[in-house]
Amino acid sequence: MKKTVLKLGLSALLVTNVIFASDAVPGVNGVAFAADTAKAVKTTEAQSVKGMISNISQKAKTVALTKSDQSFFLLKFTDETELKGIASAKELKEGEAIIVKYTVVNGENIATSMEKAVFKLPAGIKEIKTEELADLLANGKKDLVVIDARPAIKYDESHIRGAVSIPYSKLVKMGDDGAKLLEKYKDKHLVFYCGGST
Amino acid sequence: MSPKSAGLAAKWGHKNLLVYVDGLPAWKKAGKHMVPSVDYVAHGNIVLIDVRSTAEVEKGHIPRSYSIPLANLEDAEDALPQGRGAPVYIISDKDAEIDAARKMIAEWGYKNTIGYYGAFEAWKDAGKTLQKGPALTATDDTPITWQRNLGPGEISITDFTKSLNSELIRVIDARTPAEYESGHFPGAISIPLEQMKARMAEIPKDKFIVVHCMTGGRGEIGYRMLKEAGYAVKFLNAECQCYSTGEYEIW
Repeated sequence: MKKTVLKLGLSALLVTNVIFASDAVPGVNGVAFAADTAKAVKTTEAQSVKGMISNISQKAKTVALTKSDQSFFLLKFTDETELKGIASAKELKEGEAIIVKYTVVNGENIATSMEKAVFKLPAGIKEIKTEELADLLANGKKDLVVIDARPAIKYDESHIRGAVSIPYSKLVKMGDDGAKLLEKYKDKHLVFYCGGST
Repeated sequence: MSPKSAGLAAKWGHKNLLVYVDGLPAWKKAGKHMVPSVDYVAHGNIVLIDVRSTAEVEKGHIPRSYSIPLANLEDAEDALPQGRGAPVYIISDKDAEIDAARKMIAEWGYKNTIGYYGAFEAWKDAGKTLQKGPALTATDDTPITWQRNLGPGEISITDFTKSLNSELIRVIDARTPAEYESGHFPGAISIPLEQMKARMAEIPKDKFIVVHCMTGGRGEIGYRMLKEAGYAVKFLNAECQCYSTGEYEIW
């Protein structure tokens, strides 16, 4: 169904600043032309980084991670990269948290090992599995509230039927005032979910 | 996110806290349903397709939905939006029809097909009304159009094609050398993503840079890399195919 065959030599007088002035383009206003301050120090010593995969290219064997401070971290993997607990790098998907050990070679971060991050639940909080949750929802348990912790736009796109949207990011931003968002559910059983192990 | 939310709830004195650790990937894999928000169905940048019979649709349908009865869907591939990333929401009062339609559309390569199970109930519960009469229709000649809202750093397909002939812009092809050799955009220079950091000196700082690949994935990583290095850069978040003749397709 690829119908738009765009031929060479389309009239293409381009006013660049129309394209590039509309939204925040780094560099145009000088800000991002500053030297790359985050550049890693050259070293061969192994280091470790944890982050969420924001992009992964199996072809270029390159992973872009978003770290907990929202900064961006780029690394490559090779056929020598040790994969812990997974059979292939293809099992690593966007949105998953991974832990990577790496060395810096010629200014590039090369992974020596990669594994999926396993997190621990806070004390006193239990895990619920898919079928248990499905059963609870099917039985229409009255004192049950299912809470979608993802950003509101993700909830809008699609969510578990009956769930309410209380984004984690919103709770954090509100500090202790965030308690008010949950107050009305004080006597309920709360089930939190999100887009996987993040 | 969810364990941290539960942690906060615990801190604020809530008891009886559970976390569905496996989360939505497991939920979807188990074939469980998910639904969109009613307001998102009413106003979001999405495509609604009602697969019920024409007679049922005319009795009442959700506004903005296109009518393509399930029996005709098989022949309607070219009436769907060109971009395979378009979010397509399937509507019917029969779950089995939704499942069948989703399966067919997913097989055509649409990555984002969502079943709106229980649509009419949810719609009425939210106090919204159904529209009577014929719904929107689409054909091969007048297909459904959908345009993604551009995210940070994205360049539109139109602007991208213009940029190919601009002296002020350098287009970087982040695909492999073999992919580049088999056909590439006019004027594009080949710097495979895996070499981009090492070969950054080849990328001029006094031009606007646009990075593309085959699907947008490598292009986005390249964009982030160059942005961090201080370039004025955008990337093409679309699929494309270049031929050795110099012709190309973007969708």
